[in-house]
Amino acid sequence: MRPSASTILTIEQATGLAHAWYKNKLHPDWRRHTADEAEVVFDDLGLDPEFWRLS
Amino acid sequence: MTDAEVDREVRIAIARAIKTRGQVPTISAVAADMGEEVASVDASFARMIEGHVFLPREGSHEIYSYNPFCADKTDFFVTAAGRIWFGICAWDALGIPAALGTSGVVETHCPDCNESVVVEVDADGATEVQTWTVMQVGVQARDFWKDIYFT
Repeated sequence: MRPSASTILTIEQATGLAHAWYKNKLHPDWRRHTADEAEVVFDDLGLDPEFWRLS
Repeated sequence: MTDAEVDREVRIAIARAIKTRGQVPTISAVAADMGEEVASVDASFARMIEGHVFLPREGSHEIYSYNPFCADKTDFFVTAAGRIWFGICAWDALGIPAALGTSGVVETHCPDCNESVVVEVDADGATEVQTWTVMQVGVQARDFWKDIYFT
């Protein structure tokens, strides 16, 4: 598969994304983000909604 | 126990191995830690792979990356909680301190010029503003799992 597009995140967006994504990974009740929850994370960080849309 | 209850206990055992031993565990190690049959843990790993909980070694149920923690050495390494850790990409490497609930230093190299890149991250995910450091994502989010090894 070849990349269909790419996007650039500032380091603040990247660390914010990583923190939101993984802060609970080792918790006993961790579960994957739903698509809606993930899109809220992306929106809150000001990421390109077209690139980051899951649905 | 139901499958969901077994999977929760397996995830707890994996997390314990990562936090206390600094290692992404194998199926047999988790089974030994839990006092469970290897077949039961293997089945749990298979369900978690199906659920995209972790990235397996190709052709295996063993963990390659219990994201953000990669079992192998990579060019994205992190110093946190008194250990060295590895992530499969910048996103994961930056998430290792977050998963451990601590601060950390993420180091890698520019794939173009090979210059060292160092990012310090606080426990809450904050970092010093570095306009010269960015992260490129080359696959749209909806396509991440179409070929996760490429992603």
